[in-house]
Parts: sequence; structure tokens; C-alpha cells
Amino acid sequence: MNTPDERSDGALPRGFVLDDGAGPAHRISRAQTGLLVGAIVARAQQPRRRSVKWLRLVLPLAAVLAVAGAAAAASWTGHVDRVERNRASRSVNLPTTFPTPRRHPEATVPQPTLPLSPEPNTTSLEPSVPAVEGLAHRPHREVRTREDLIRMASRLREQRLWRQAERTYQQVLDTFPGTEQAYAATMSAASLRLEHLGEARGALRMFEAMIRQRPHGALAEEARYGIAEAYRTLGDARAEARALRAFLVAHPDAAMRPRVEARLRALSAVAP
Amino acid sequence: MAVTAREDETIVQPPTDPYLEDVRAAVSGDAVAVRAVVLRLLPRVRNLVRFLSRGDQDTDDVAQDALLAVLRDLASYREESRFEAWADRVVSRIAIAAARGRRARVVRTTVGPMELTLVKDPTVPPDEYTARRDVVRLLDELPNEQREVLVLHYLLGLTVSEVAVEVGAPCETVRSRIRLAKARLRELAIADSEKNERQP
Repeated sequence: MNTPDERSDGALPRGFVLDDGAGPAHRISRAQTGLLVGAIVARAQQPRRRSVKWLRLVLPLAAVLAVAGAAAAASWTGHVDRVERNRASRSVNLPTTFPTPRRHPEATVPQPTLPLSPEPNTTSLEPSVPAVEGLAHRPHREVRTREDLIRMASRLREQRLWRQAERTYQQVLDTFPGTEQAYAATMSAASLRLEHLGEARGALRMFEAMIRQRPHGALAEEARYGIAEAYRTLGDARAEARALRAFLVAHPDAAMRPRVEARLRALSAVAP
Repeated sequence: MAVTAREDETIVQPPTDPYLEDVRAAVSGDAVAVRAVVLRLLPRVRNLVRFLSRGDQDTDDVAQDALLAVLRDLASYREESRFEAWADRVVSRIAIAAARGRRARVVRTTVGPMELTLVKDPTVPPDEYTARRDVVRLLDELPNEQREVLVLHYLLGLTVSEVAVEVGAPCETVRSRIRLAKARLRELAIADSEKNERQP
């Protein structure tokens, strides 16, 4: 059937409506909306998760090749053994027992395994030191790439581990300063500070640092809006109004312009 | 819808999609347009996510993921349908996947007197918002499988066969789920109104 077929009986309750009006999503403030938009735009700037599609294609092929290779090797080894045995049987009597094959000394040493990436809900973000001697000097590559750190921060965010997520973003800033990822991570960390961690002053410093470093950067609009929101949270109406005016000057075509103007009007009505 | 009469034939012009200009600019990399699309779409996406998710706690996180998916798929939008309808499909896939992955988690729904103060638009009467909140509160009582088909079929206007493709179930199963979901929803609504009537 190609048409909605059970629509006409009117059995659905009132309020079963989808539009961009109020509800059913819970109400969020303008500040939260601005930060949410900022977070989305910041994430859009961040690198995508590495695609595993190629792995899906390559791994079965590699497995088939490995199995085929092993089979071929085994077959070849068996063939050589048989030839050798045949040769030997022609010259000497076969022993009744075979000596245990000598192993290479290294084969008895347990093979070190690389540590796995930390679980998403881990609280320790420090690279774990491999227990196996000889690997201690090896960097924990899975954790140390910026993409992985950002992925880890996203997972922590999804689990609402705000503090750990913020620290992970901070780790990106500390470890890879000046990169695009660090720039976007600053936005994410500042938003978390403002929205979830109650650290408006810290968020303000981060937003201001973003503007200082890249006054016309891809996230300058969100950073300027964040500055105003941070001042609002701190209760500094005068500084908030100043920040909003700076926003309008720097981003005259911003999509958030109506909101910013409305807030400015509200501020001037309270304290002209 | 604009109607233009020309002698004996009437040409019905489709309404212009209000998103189109921004979407085209966003696809070509215009950062202002990207923000405009996100800002405009956000309330609808949050609402759709809430219709498909149990409780309020994940709404904003899932909406973020969904909008990100919309942005990343933007180039594949062919303008064959309204942009909102296309975005709804993308968002519903993300929201359904998230809901399926989080079944075991504790559900928290914001309820109480705060609700009445949380009306987004002062021109919208409070009872409209409350009615919508009541609906999702009832939907939270349905199994995910029933909830998904109800939302996809009635809110997004997908046909049964389209819903079947989206949820990965046969058409008959989808029809059965829709029937069960509606019956259960009706029961819940009646029980809810009786409970409200009993309260002073």
C-alpha cells in the first residue's frame, strides 16, 4: 500500500503534531539554543569519524588471502615434509619416536599485545603504561591522535560525563595547539563550561581567546555570542550589552541577529 | 499555493521551499547559511527527536547528532521533496538508532509545574505545549517498535511500505504495530484523563 491508510479514524490524541513550535521537546533558553547551534557548527568543522567501510571490504579479502596463504604454506610444507620423509625412508629407517621440534627461543616469550583504546567511560585520560616490558616507551597511539581524542570527548559527552569531556577537549588544546581541531575543541570545551559545569568565567576566557587568535575564524560568531552569554551568566549586564553590540558589528548578517537584537532591547529596557 | 489561470488551463505552482536558498548556499560552503539552516531547523529536529526518544535527557544530544548528519548529507539533497521532509527522514534514522541503542537507560521526563512556565512562544497558548508534552509522556509508555511506526506513519506521513523499509520489518508487521500502538495509546489516554478527573 502506498498511501497512509489508517489516518482517517482520528484516534490519535491532540498534540500529536510535528512542527517547529513549542513542544514536545522541553523548552530551552535562547542561550542554550545559541550554544547548541555553536556546538553543532563546531562539530561540523571537526573531522569525521574515520570510515570503516574500506575495512569492511578489505578485511574479508585479507582474511581469505590469509587463509589461502596459510593453506598453501601448509600444503607446501606438507609436500616438502613428504618429499624429505620419502627421501629419508629410502636411505634410513624411520625412528619410532620423533624428537620434539626445537623452538626458537623467542617463541616461548609471551608476545606483548598493544593496549586497547580506553573504554569510552574511562575517567583516566592518561595513556596507560603497557605492562609488558619493552613497550613502555611506545606511545599510546590510539589515544594520542587528535581525531581519537575528539571522538573520545564526543562519547564522554554522550554519556553526560561533562567534566571528563571538557578535560579531553582541553587535552586536544594542550597537545595540538594551533590546529583546526584545537580551535573547534575550544568552542566545545567553553560551551561545556558554560552550559554544564557552571564555570562562566572559564568559558569567557576561552571564548575571548578564540576571538583573539582568530577574529574572523569559522567559529567567531559562536565565540562572540558565547562571550555575551558568559557575561549574562555572570550577571554583568553592561558587559553583556557591549558583547552583543560587538557581535552585531562583527556579524551583521548573522542568523542569530534577531535574537541578539531582542536581547539588547530587553537589556536597554532594564538599564537604559 | 499560488494558482495562475491561463485561458482554459490552470497551472498550480508549488510553494517555494523557504529553506532552499539557505540550503543551496550551505552546500556551496556558506557558513552563514549553514548556521541559518541549523538555527531554523533546530526546534523541529528537537521535537521530532523527542517524539522518537524516551524521556528528555537525550533530546539535545541526539538532536545535535541528527543535525550534524543533516549537514553532512546536505549535498545529497536533490530538491525532489521539501527540505523539511528530507531532513525529517535523516533525523528520524538517527533518533531511532539512538533510541534503540539506549533502551536500557533510565528515563527522565521533565514534568511538573515548571512546564507551564516553559512555553517557548508567548503567542502559543500554554495548553498546546502541555498537550504535546502529554502525548510524549504517553508515547514513553509504548514499546520502541510501536512508537517508531506511529511517528513515521502519522507524523512524517510515510506509507506503510516506506515505514517497513525504515524500521526493517515486513509491511504486515508494521500494520500490526500501528494498530497495537493506537489501541494502547487510546487506553493510556483514557486512563490518564480518568486519573486527572479524579484529582481535585
